[in-house]
Amino acid sequence: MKKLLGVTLGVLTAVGGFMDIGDIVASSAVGARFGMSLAWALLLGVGGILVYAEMSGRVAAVSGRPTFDLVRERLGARMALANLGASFFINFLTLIAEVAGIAIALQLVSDVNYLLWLPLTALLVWVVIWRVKFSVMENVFGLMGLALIVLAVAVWKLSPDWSSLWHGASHPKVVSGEGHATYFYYAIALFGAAMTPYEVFFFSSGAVEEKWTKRDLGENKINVFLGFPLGAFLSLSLMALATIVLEPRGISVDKLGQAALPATLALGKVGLALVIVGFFAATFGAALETSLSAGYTVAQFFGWQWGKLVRPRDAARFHLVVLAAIAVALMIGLTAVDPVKVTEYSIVLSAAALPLTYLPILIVANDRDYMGDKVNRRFGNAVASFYLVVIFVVAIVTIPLMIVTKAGA
Amino acid sequence: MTEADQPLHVHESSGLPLARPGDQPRELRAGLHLLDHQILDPDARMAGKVDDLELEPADDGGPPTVVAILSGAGALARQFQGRFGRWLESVDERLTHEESPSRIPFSYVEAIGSHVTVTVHHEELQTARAERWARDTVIDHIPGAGHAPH
Repeated sequence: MKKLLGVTLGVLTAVGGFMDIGDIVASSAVGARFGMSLAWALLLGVGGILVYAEMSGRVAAVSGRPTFDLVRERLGARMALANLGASFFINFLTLIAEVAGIAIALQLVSDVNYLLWLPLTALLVWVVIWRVKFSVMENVFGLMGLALIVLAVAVWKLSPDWSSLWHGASHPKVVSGEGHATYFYYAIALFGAAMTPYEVFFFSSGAVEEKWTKRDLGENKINVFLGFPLGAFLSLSLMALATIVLEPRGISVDKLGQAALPATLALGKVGLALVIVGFFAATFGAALETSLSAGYTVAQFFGWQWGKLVRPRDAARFHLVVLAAIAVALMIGLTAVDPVKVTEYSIVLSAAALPLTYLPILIVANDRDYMGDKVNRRFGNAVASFYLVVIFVVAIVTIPLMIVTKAGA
Repeated sequence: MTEADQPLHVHESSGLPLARPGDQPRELRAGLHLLDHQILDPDARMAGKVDDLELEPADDGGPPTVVAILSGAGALARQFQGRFGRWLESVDERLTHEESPSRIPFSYVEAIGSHVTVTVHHEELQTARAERWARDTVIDHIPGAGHAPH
């Protein structure tokens, strides 16, 4: 049991990272519009997050330093502040959307408008951060998120034409009626969603909160290599469901409820119930990740005491930042902004800011002064360098593509 | 901070024990091994960053020596040129009513490794003021602020 619970940090990070409200809707929307022809972008992204999350966890375990600590040290105060500004803003956009996402999941079961649920969901997120032990939080929401495996069951239950699904995924082409720019815009959205920086901020800080040391490097690997592929697998399942059910009927997706449709069709009420539990856990997990990351990044930039290992009054500024982030996110959420649109923008904008976060991780993971014999192997460096090039290219083309395609319209 | 990029023979001038015992004495680069690092106090509490360094030029024209670590918004402001830096510095001065940031003489530095460990308790540092403000005005008024999280 303890071994099983040992991987919940990775599961929570990945489920919150891959299945937050924006990703849920984006995966479904892409399936409904492009079939499986963009699956490669998701798989490319999961490879990148695997390599970099493993490095960030390893650095945290060996040197006790979370990712934003490395950013400040290696980029210097000025570049790190630029990164902090961008990361905090993107994080905050995601937080707005997730708090609304939890409320929408509650609306799906209650028929009470999500705006009425919003204050309660924001309060719940804050209370969990304020009072609940890190490992309990990780276990509860990580395990609850596993309800989403129902998505894969639904795909199997629909007994689709596997060969045509596979053909769609392995022979990517731009479907008729869609432009190349739009196709690549969505490719970047999927890639950016897989590699959102808050995953490494949260995962590496979580490793420090869990007091990982050199002895936990095995646990780090298991967390990463189970958690993130699971997240990607769930995303792919959603995409496949949309390809099977929604694409032929010409239904487009822009709401959370629509993403739950295919699973309901396949598995009825039980399916719907599990999907909603899963959506709730995933959006809640993402809300925890982003609000904690708001505090982690700021505190790690300025060197303040942070984390849930000490009493809240001993990390006062950290908790003040988290509280303020949640409160302001609630107020903006109450203006009834479309949470899906908000995360779509945040994912794409985060793609533009990726290099500033991932480069310092790669540098420190190669530094023998800190890492001793736990530095990167040659193969790891080759893969990581490949991804760094991809990340730089993505960062450069993201904003122009966003303008040209009018954000994928 | 161009001087800080020059090698400084810190361990020789201060008799400083390095973080990992058994290591060969190594040449520390102030810009790489000190600047922008996390400061920890004797209880392993986080106590700010090394935001700036106070250097003393060597008489013989050799590399300068680090005499103190500077920490806090006032010191950080000096890393930013232009309007933003001046603004940050003026805000800091108005809030703290002091011109100098936390100055930690180098003799209080105990170890330099992943973190910079000092022998001063974090509450004694100038940078603790803002933390105290956040604690006294907001955090302590919320029920459960003093509970250990487990």
